[in-house]
Amino acid sequence: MRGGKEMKGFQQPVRCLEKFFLLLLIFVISGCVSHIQTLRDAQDEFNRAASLENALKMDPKQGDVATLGNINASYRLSLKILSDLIVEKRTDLEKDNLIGIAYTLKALTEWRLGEYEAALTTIRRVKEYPASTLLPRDMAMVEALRGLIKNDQAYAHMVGRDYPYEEIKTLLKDSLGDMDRGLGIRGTGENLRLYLLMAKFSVLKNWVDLKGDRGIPRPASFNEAAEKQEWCDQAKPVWNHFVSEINRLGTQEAVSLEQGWANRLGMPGACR
Amino acid sequence: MVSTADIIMLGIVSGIRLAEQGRRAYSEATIERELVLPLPNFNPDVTVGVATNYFLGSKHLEENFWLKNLYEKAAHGAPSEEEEKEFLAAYQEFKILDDVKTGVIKGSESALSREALVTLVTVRQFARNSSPYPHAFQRVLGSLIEIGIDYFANAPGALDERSSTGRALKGFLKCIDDLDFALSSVEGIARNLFSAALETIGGTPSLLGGDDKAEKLIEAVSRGLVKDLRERMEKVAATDLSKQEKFEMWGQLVLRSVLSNAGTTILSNPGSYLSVAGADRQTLVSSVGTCVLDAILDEETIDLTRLCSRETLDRLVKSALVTLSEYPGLAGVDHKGLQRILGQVAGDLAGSARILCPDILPEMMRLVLEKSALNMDVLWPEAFRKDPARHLLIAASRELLEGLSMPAGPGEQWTPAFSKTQLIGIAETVLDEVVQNPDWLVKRAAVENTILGDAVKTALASLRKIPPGRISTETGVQVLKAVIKAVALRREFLDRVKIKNEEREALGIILDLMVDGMLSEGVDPRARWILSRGDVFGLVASAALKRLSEIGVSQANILKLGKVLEQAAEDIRTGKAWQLDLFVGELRTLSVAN
Repeated sequence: MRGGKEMKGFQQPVRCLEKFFLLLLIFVISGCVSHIQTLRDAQDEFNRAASLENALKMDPKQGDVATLGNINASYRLSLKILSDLIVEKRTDLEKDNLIGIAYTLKALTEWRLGEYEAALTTIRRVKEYPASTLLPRDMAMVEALRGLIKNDQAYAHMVGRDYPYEEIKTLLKDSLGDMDRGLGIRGTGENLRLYLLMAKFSVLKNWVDLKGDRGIPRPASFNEAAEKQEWCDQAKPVWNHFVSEINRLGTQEAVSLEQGWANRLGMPGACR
Repeated sequence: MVSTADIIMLGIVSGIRLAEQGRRAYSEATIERELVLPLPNFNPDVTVGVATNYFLGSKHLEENFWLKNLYEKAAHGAPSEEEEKEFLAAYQEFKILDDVKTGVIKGSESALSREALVTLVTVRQFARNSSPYPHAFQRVLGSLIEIGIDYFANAPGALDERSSTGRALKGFLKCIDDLDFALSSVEGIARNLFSAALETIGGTPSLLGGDDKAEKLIEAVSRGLVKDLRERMEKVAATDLSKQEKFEMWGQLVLRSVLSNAGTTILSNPGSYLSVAGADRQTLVSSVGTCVLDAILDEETIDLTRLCSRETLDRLVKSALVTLSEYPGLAGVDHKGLQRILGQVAGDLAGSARILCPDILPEMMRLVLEKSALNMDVLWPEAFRKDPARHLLIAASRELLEGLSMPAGPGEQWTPAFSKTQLIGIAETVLDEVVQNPDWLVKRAAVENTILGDAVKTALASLRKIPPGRISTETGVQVLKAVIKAVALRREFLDRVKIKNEEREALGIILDLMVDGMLSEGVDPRARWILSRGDVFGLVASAALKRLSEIGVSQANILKLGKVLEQAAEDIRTGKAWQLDLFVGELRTLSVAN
């Protein structure tokens, strides 16, 4: 115990020294890191929008026009910052190995704004760089982005009821496959795996809603039991993977998260 | 002694290094920053879909009548708002009970909160404790003792356009230089098709001839496909990424197939394709790829992408190329002859193909194209080129498949399950005969069907009287082919004759005679044991039909055949000598009855 206290006591001045050095350095080099600061501003705007959007997804009744406007505005601002930054400071971003981060964030922002073609172009651009440009989280998101887009396209068709059942189902099933590519990237943390598993849950939720929506005509070959089996074949492994990740975390938030998705999807009972 | 100049120099160098390392530390801290990731779109509410999915197949429905009523209304009817609420409440109730019973819920877990979600979707760049970057402090200290020099080497791989590969690739590159690359989909098409072209050209020696023919050919094929794909992909760009990917994949496959087959078909036959001038040459060559692609991606009738394999596609493309080289006019005027044929085959045959075997559709397209090349002017006269329904081979295929897919009527027993190979085999026999004699599709006076329709219908009606398990589908196919060949030689098989107070088509009477004499319940079991074995029925029927087509389908000859069959059954029943070879020989030499 005492040793621990001593260690903490030793670490305190070291941390102060670190901060001093860092501030000093920032002061010294502030002239040549403006692109980094700009990127951080874009990250902040994106995080703000994403936090609001996620909160709204959990409780849509809280969403008013102003909140939706804020989300959109933050994403737009983030996109504007990133687009300008990539055009004006590309060389600096490349030199600092930040180009992958910038492109990934741009693609994610475009996805959330529904600019899917632009998001796919952005992904192509970043993939032209050497593989090491993309770090694990960004690599996983770039790989999964096609799936995220397909899910949102399917959801838009469900809301608009403007597309055949089978075509929407194809989009959703393809989406799950694309997300697996993201999950297959090594070196990502548990939170990213949880995020991608929850993204897959979102797809599975859409699929189960599609099955239950009488407003979208079902094909003549529709068979309830076979459809459920097909859904469970996809849902079960995702659920088991998710539960094992949650158990590893063991936090109250994790348990709460499991309970929320269990209720929303009817798992694990629906596929027992 | 250190001079002032040295100190100043050291200060400058150290300052530069320190600044550089500080910049790196700052950028790495930015790389490692956490990012909140937004979930994709979905409806977070528990819906009827969730509840019906939960209850489907569960014991709760069997045990609770009221719940089953609610379920039925929710799943198949139109529940009122109250009933829907009640159903969703029942879901929550039963789910909690089930979860408690199975130990999924252990205590007082609350529902998913905003805070929990925000905490868990805040994502680091690297897994915990696995950041590859040194601490900022270490980096600053390290910079004082370390100098890093990066070398960048740039060695662009120049393509020698004087080489045969270079010329071939130049053909492809020419087709994409006028595309608008501002659109993501266009860029994707160009990129993917380029790699497909690169691989195919490299693996197709005939495309590497070194003269400008290959270059022109590749340019024409690619240009048409790129344009077609671009239009398709732009239409679904914002709404269906899956479809975009499907288009892209099939575009690549068709390009590979057309390029690899064009090498042998077009370049070995340059007079037909490459002697045509200017834009027409381009249309002629590119129409193969675009027409095949259109037929495959047209989803209005049947989704061919599920049925086509690489091999099927290759065969189809090859047939299309051969047909066009024989009849370049198909791509002339409005350039849609080929497309019309493929579209009409898909539209006309999709219904019966679904019942029989959907996989035959691309093969039927190939067959129709292949056989068309033999006698196009007769099969699809110039005057009808805008109406593909008048193409005799399409009409014949439709009539054949409709006949084969007709469900068995009451009392009919033999229900064959034709394989793809068997169906294609029958179709090939039929189409060969139609090419020889288009009158197969003529309707006779006072008869509703064409000759082909009548022959198929009559033969099937007799075969369906065979008790189940007595003959295989393969034997049935053998008889059907024999029927087509026999009718081709003598149309009187479909004339009506009167035998034993029954007047109908001779073909039906002959086949019934053989079924009754060899396979029916009335045949002595000892005789049936031999006559229903393996391919005996097929051999006997083929020999008898062939002989009758030679000596004539008269009432007397049919009665004579009946007697020969009766005698065979009697010989077997009474234990006399009987040999299949001798019996078939006897049928083949059946003399004309007086």
